[in-house]
Amino acid sequence: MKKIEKSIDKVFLTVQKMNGKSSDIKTRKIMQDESQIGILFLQSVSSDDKISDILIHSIMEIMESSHLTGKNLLQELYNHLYNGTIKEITTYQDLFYHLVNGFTAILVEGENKAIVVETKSTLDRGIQESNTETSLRGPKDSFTENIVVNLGLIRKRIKDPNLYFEELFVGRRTKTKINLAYLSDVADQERVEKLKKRLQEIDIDGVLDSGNLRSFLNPQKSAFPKIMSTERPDFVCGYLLEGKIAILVENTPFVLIFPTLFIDFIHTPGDYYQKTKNVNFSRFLRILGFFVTLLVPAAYVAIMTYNPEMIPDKLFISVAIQREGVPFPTAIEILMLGITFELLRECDLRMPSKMGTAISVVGGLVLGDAAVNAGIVSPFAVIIVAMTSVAGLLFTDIDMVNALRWWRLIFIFFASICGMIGVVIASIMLITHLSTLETFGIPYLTPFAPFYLKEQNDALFLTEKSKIKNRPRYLSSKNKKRLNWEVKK
Amino acid sequence: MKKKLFLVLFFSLFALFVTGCYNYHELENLAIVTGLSIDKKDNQYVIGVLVANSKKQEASSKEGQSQTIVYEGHGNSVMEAFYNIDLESPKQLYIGHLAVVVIDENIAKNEIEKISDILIRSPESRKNFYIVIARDAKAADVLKITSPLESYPSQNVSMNLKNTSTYQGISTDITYSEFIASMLTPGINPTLPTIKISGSVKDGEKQQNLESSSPETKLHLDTLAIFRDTNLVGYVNEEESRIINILNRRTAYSLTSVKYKDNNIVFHLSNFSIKRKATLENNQPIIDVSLKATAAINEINTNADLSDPDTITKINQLLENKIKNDILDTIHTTQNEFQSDIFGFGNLFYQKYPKYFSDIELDWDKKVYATVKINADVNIDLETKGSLEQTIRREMYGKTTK
Repeated sequence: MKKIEKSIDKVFLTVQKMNGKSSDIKTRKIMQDESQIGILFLQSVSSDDKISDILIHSIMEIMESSHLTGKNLLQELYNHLYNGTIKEITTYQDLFYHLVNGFTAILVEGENKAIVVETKSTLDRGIQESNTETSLRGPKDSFTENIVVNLGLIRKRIKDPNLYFEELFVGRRTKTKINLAYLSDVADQERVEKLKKRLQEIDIDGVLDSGNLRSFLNPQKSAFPKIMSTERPDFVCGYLLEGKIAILVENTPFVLIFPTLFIDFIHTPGDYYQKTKNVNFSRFLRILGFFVTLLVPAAYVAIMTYNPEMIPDKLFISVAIQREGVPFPTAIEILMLGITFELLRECDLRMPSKMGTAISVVGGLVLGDAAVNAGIVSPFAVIIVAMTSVAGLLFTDIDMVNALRWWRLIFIFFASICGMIGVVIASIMLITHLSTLETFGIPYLTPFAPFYLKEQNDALFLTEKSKIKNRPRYLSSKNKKRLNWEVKK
Repeated sequence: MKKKLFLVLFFSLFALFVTGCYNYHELENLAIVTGLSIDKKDNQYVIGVLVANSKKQEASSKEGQSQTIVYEGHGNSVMEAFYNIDLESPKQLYIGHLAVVVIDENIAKNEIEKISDILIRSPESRKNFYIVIARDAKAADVLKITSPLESYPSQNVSMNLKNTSTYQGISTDITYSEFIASMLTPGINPTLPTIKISGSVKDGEKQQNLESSSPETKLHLDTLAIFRDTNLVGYVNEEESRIINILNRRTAYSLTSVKYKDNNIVFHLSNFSIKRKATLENNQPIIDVSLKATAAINEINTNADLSDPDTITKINQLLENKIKNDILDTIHTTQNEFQSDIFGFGNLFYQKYPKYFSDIELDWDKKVYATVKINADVNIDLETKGSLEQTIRREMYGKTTK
């Protein structure tokens, strides 16, 4: 590692050479009598105000006084600069790292050291309301791209010394800062260590979003998401209190929650803000939505083409009359409509919202009316696909929605080649698949398989919240008690 | 590896278009048969199938009218007749949603077992359709009569059967599997509902029949047909039909009327609880029938004092006697006139005295059944008088009126 040279000009030159004379490298020399001081910073990530108003001002003062007293200038600067974060460094590697992080380097002629002080400019959009996870009740703030702000949002909610933030860096080029947040006296320490080790092993050139890490943390092949991401700090705190670990990644508002089980997609931490009975109805809808979105189109195909005796006479006849004149087999009809819907949804995701109206007009016309009138699809198929798609969107996690979409295709495929038996085969495949998954030793279907009787009070449905006194035992074995309160009669 | 994957994907996609999969059929290629009629003409079976999803129906359903197609086919067996229809119909006949099978009287008299086989053997049929006998009419005609209240004639018949059997007990909704079961169970004979056509069939099958507010041609359900083994032996009257349905636990409600002071009181009966017991004393088979029910006064035209507990007791007594006599009369009719054990008393002996029954099984209906001693015990609870405390006359003029 190359040491910093004594001459300011040489240092300036070397840094400029390292970075291909990039335009944002700014240098400045300040001279007072014999003392020479060089200032070096990257304009793009530093705050001009901080440097000019505070830093240079304070440097001037120190230089003047040190000249009068004749003390070591570098030491004086180190001791008296008006700044919270200040460091002494000796190598170019360190120097450059700090520069790109918004630090300003102060060089003194004749010293082979440099002082770096923090002059970061705020390059984020501030705390805003969450777009992806909205709820009627509960805090409105969401994470930003600034990891320090994000950590603050968590810290201000859990004022416990046992809330640990462990920092590490991933990414050969991006050097992305990653923080593991957990409650040290609740979370499973072994799991934290394992996770840390796994993260440190990652050798990738860039981490641009927390999503980049997912595949490294979970090498098992599956469409189902095994790590959840959220941008709501209150949700993250809810998970931390349960004994989970949050992975905060610099420059992204999406925080990974670890470990995530299947059940976490049916629950949301927002559930606990509301009345138990109402929550249970919402959960019932989510469970229903899960089955509807997976099974309904497949069951439709199976019943229409193999097992028509399963539906009541009147419904059967009216469906049969609607199918009259439709040129495609039922499976193709459902696939066509389903794919049209997915196309529209994909468009909606990519397009700016101003284009949304055009898409919805076309979508409404194409899906709703014209296709039926033209006799390409039957009205009943439109209802089926609409129901399926809407039910699928009940899940907020986009990975879950996509996993269900993928499995829905598998179900339709099996239904179209062997009817109801095919649906059963696909169901067995799905259950087998879900049972084989695990995250760091915890089976994905916990607490159903393996079955934990004591955890059933918050599994599918929630019992009275005052009765849930312990943390989920499969997450952590220590500090189980979560609530110590009896209902007063 | 990639090539393999591609091939698997290709064939998987291809499978979607293949229509050769077992049991695969698209809905629009099916002619949904909701009604089936079986007649016999010149030693050939004539079957009629009522197809519900005709193109015509689609057009007419928007106007709230019904039009279905009845195909007819001839053949030496039912299946051959079926195949002959397939030649006429552009779509494959599908009997999974069969609702009603109408059978000609003459077939019922002689050879119902011959036509029963195809319907139970076919894996496609659901066996829960109703079976009904066309009385004094061609079975095929029953399927043709349109009804203003239901979209399909078959629907008309099946809904009618269901409601009548629940609320009145004259007719009964016997499904095909029940019918076959009572034919095959030892010591019990089947009964079947019957149906009649009033008015001309020619007018009935036309759309004009629906345009009048009182259609010229109508279908109406008739009393029960009694079978011995597999042959129809006769019909009972309305009162007997009601009793048979009560004793066979095939109805939830029933009606009966009692003469009181030269006028009628009509009762609505419900909450039936029937116990049947078989005993054998010195080789004399005895059947004890006990019936418990709740009665409500439905209509009263006599000048009775309903507030007097004695009158109520008297009426109750009369009602119990009436029902008891009805039960005994009905059972005697089946014992002597039809010689057919439609109540399944023989089955009680079969279960309790298997040895005794196996000796007489073949003679049960014709010889032994008539000698069975019947004891009936009726216990009626006259619960309510309806919304009026007294008769109208007494409400008007007070209790003094006579």
